[in-house]
Parts: sequence; structure tokens; C-alpha cells
Amino acid sequence: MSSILLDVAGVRVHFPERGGSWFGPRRTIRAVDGVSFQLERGESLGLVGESGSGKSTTARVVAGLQTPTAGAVRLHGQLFGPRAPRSVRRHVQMVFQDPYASLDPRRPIGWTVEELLAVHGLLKPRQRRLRVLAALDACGLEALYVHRYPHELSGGQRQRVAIARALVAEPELLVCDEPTSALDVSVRAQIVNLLCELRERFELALLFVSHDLAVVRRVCEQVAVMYLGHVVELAPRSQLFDAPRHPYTRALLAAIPRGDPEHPAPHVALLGEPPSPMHPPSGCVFHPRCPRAGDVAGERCAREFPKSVERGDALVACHLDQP
Amino acid sequence: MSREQSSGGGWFREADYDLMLTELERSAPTSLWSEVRRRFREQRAARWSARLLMVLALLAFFAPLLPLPSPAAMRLAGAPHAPVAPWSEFVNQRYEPVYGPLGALDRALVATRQKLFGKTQLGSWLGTDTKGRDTLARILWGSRTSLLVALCAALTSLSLGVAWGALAGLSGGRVDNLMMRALDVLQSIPTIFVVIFLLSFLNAPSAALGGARLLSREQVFFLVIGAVSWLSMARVVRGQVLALRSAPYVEAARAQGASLVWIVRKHVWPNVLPVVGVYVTLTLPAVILYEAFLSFLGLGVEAPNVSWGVLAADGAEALSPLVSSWWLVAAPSTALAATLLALGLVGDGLRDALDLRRGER
Repeated sequence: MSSILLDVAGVRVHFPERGGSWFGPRRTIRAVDGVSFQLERGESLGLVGESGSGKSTTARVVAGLQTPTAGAVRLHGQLFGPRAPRSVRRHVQMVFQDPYASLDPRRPIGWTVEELLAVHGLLKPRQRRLRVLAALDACGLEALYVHRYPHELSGGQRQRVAIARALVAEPELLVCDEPTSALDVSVRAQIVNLLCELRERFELALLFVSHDLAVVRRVCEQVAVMYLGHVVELAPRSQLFDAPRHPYTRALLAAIPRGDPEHPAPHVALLGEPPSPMHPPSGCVFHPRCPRAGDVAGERCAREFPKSVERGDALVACHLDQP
Repeated sequence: MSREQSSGGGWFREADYDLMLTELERSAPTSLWSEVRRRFREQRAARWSARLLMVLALLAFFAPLLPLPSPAAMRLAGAPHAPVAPWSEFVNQRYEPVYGPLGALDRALVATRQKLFGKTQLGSWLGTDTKGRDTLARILWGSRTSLLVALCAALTSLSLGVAWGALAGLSGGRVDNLMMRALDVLQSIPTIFVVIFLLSFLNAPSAALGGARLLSREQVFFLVIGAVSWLSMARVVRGQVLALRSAPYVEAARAQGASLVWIVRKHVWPNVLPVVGVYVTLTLPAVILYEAFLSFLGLGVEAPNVSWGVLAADGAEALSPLVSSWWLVAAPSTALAATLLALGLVGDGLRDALDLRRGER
């Protein structure tokens, strides 16, 4: 049996511009513009990048909430998306960023966690309730919470509920869209530890979207760096953090604050703001801000989009790093 | 897929929780609605307002049964008749059945009243007007008009308003746009002109219609009130549905593979309902006031039927520096004000009771 669980192949998501002019052509926003990666069973991949880099949209495509404009997502080789049959969709579940908003305020916790089982008509009622208790327990919540309402819980507890809800039908892939960014720093570590623990216990594959590099380093074995809808570098954790190849990855890593004033990080200046995804730059999308774009002969960076090439264990899309 | 059939892939050991579940089920949780009811009852103003409204509704419904003078019975002994002041007499035996056109139910109630009390009636506790008609009886009979208008408005906004708004919000895009523009057009028409136009049009027995009226004046009046009262409800519901459609917990349900029907039934509807309930209590006072206003202008109900607006208008007419029949203005206005205030307080209480985050104890 092939070990490939998830295959994301050349996914593009283009949105029509909101509002805009009533007449004349609508411009498109290229939120995701050709993203490919694969995920094996039990593997975890982190998606990092600035706001607007398309990482959340990618997560939504993988979770089946968004139909890609082009490209395909396959789960066990079967096409996956909003129209995939329920029995298939069950295997991919999502944890959302804001635990305050992602739980229905008028439903008790037990109902919310049980909902998925009820939607799919899985198990008998009593079995379902037992499963809910088990899932809550696995997420570190006591049984008495089933009767509580979301507004009675703290942020960390709610996120635990959201995770329990995602796990209750035993999915193979968990998509986490910035699950810790709405939480207090003190709670963040607990949730990260919980995710790591659950992943190990259930052999869960994880797609982890975050802009918090420290969290990604803790959770994910593979890391993909996104910029303006493209994956610019995809590498195993150790390689990416110790020997980043793409200039953008280096800039991102250099931006992590260090706790050691004796050895400050090498300063890699990124100029300006990320360009608008409505008018992506020609050639390599990163070249207007790239500190090393001048190093490539013949202005290739501005003309030609760099292909992703394998360098060691990593996939890098940069003209500087071609074999 | 090997895991397809078994939803119990053996991640969890459910058996361990059997005792715990039995224990939990014994301590049954309070349902959301009983909790809301409890929170509503805890608010004194809202509780008493609700009781007042209930008493008023009962009095209005059973007005024909009460030992009151007939609302249209005049006493024109020596015209011009000076209005009788309040509290001049406790009971008397001068009851005469003088009513406008009555429905079957009201006829039955009046017949029962005649059997029960015979010629006995309360004296004019709240005085009479210049034509000798009993103020209390007229206020109670007038409350029927006001409450009927309120009921009519509530029903149209609950049916048409909610349906229109929900449909627009759920379909989104072009359909939503069209439905909302239609609302804009309807709302941009000044209602008072529509009322005047319709009433004068339908009141004149036209030759084309063979001299027959299609609808009575009252029916037109109710139709117009119904037609304007659902517009803002549709807007409110549409906005709420639109907001809920992209709410993260609805997204979460979608990500779990829930169908649209499920999402509407289990998430959208329960979250729209409180807003609808509160908004109805806001609509009712406005509509009751609108009816009073139109009747005051002489555009609403006509004699022998009465409404609070008509009563206030009559009372204002009777006011003169020579004879101060203050009760003719004060009584209907107090009834109107008390009803509006009570509705407002009930709305407030309902909102607070439904907002679970409020007033944590």
C-alpha cells in the first residue's frame, strides 16, 4: 500500500475581486498559485509565511472547504473537495484559528463534539456519547464539560473542545489553521503539546498552518514556506531551520527574535511590503524584495519563474540555487 | 479503504467511560430554553410587563363578556350632553345592547354576557364622552383594534419577513441583491400616501366594480399595516443569516460534511430565532403607535369601531377651557403608553435573557 495519504498537485485558488467596478473586467486575486506537496500517513507538515501568502487558503482547500480553481487534492488517490462524499470527507478534519467563534454559542460542548457523529450517522446514541467522553478525555477535558456552554470555558479549553470535535470520528489528517495564534502565550504551549501527543498516539497526519516559527519547529517534521501563493521552499525541519536555502526563508528565520543579545541574528533586510496578489510581480514573485536578486545574471529573476528543484532533501524555487 | 466500515478504529476505549456517562446522565443538564425562561423571570420589570400584557390581551379578548356598557350606546337625554366624570356611579341597570357589526364569536360572547348579567352594567368608572358613551368600555374595545393590528404585524413579519430575509441571506449573490432591492423600493414609498390613496380609492364605490367594495376599510387598513411591518424584519433576518453563514462554527460544521439542511436547522435557525423574537417586540410598539397615529388622523378605523387613536382624537376634540374632560385624553393615552412601555420592557428582558454571555453569576 502506498504510504502517500494526501497529494496536493498544482493547486491554484483565484478569487474574483470583491466589489470592484460593476462594469469592466473583474480582476482576480491569486491567493494560491500553484502549490504542490504530499503528506504521508502520520507525517506533519507546517505551512509558514506572511499574512496573505495563501497558507490559510491552502489549508481550506485541503480541508475541503474551498474548491481549487485548478489542480487537485487527492486523499488515498481519491479526488477530495467540497463535493467529495461524506464518508471520505470524514477523514480530514479541521481546527480553526479562533476558538471563541468556532463553537456554536447555543450548543453545549457535548452536542458540539457529537455533531460530526450525528451528521454522519455513525454509531448508536449511547456509543456516540461514550465516544465524546473519550475524545474529550484525550484532549484533557473532564467529562463534566459536556453540559457546559462555550461561553463558560476559557480560550484554551475551547480550543481543546475544537480539537476533540475534530478527533471524534478518528480522522487521518488534521488541518490546523493557526490553532494557537488566538490563545494566550501561557496556554499556547499546552495546546502545542497536546497536538504533538495526539499525533503520536493516533498516528495522525497534520497540516499545520502558522506564522509562529517556534511552534512549527516544535510540531512539524516538514516545513513549507509560502510567499504570495507559491511554496518557495519545502524542507525537513532540521534542514530548513539550520540551513535555509531560499533567500525568503533566510529572511523569515532572521526575523525571529533571539533571546541572546551577545549573538544577534544576522540581519537580512526585507524591503517594503509584500506585493498585492492582484498584481503579482513577473518572474519570481519574490524578486522585488529579494536582497540577492541582483546576483543572478541577465535579470532572470524578473523574467522567469524559478522551478522547484530538489536540493538534498529540500525543494527550492530560486534561480540562485539551480543545479 | 480498510477503515471505511469501522467508525470504531479503536482509538478510544469507550468502555472505560460507561460509568461516567451513566453518572452524567443522572445529572441532566438544564436545557437552553429553560435557562432562558429562568433568566427572563429573574428580571422584575420584564416579568411584570409580560403579566400586564397578558392581562390586557385577556381583557381585550373577553371585553364583550364583561358587564360593561355597550361601547356605542349613547345617552343623549338633553343634548349637548356634558360628559359624565369618572367614579360617579358604581353599577346601574341601564344596559342596552348597541354594537357595531360583530363576528360570530363576539356575538356569542355578547349573548353570554346578557344571560350572565342581564341589565346590570358598571357605571361609567372612567366617565363618558360628550355623546354619553362609556370610556372604559371604549378603551377595552379599542384595545382589540390595537392588539389585532399588533398581531397582524407580528404574523406578517414572522412569516413573510423571516422567509424573505432567510431566503435572501441563504441564496446570496444575485438573488439576494434582487430581493434586497425590491425591499428598498417598497421601503422608499411613503406609507402614509399609500394608505391615503388606497383608502380613498377603495372607499369610493367605483362604477367599474359595480358599486361593490372589494375590501372593507378595516381590511385595507390591516393589509397596509401588514405590508409595511415586515420590511425591516426581512432586513434584520437577512443580515443575521448572512453573518451566520460565514460564522466559523458554521464553517466548522461544513468542514465536517454537514449538509445545508443540517446547518440551517441546527445552527442558523437557533441563532436567528432570538434576534427575531427581540425584533418582534420592537416592531409591535411601532405598529401600535402607527395605528393610533393613522386613526388619530382619521385614516384608520371608523365609527362605530374604536381604537386608542380614535379615542385620543375624540378626547382632544372635546378638550375645551370651559369643560375640562381630561379623562377623555388621559385614559386612552395612559393605556397606549402603558402598553408600549410594557412591550419595550419585555423586549429588553428577552434580549438580556437570550444573551448568554450577559450577567454571568
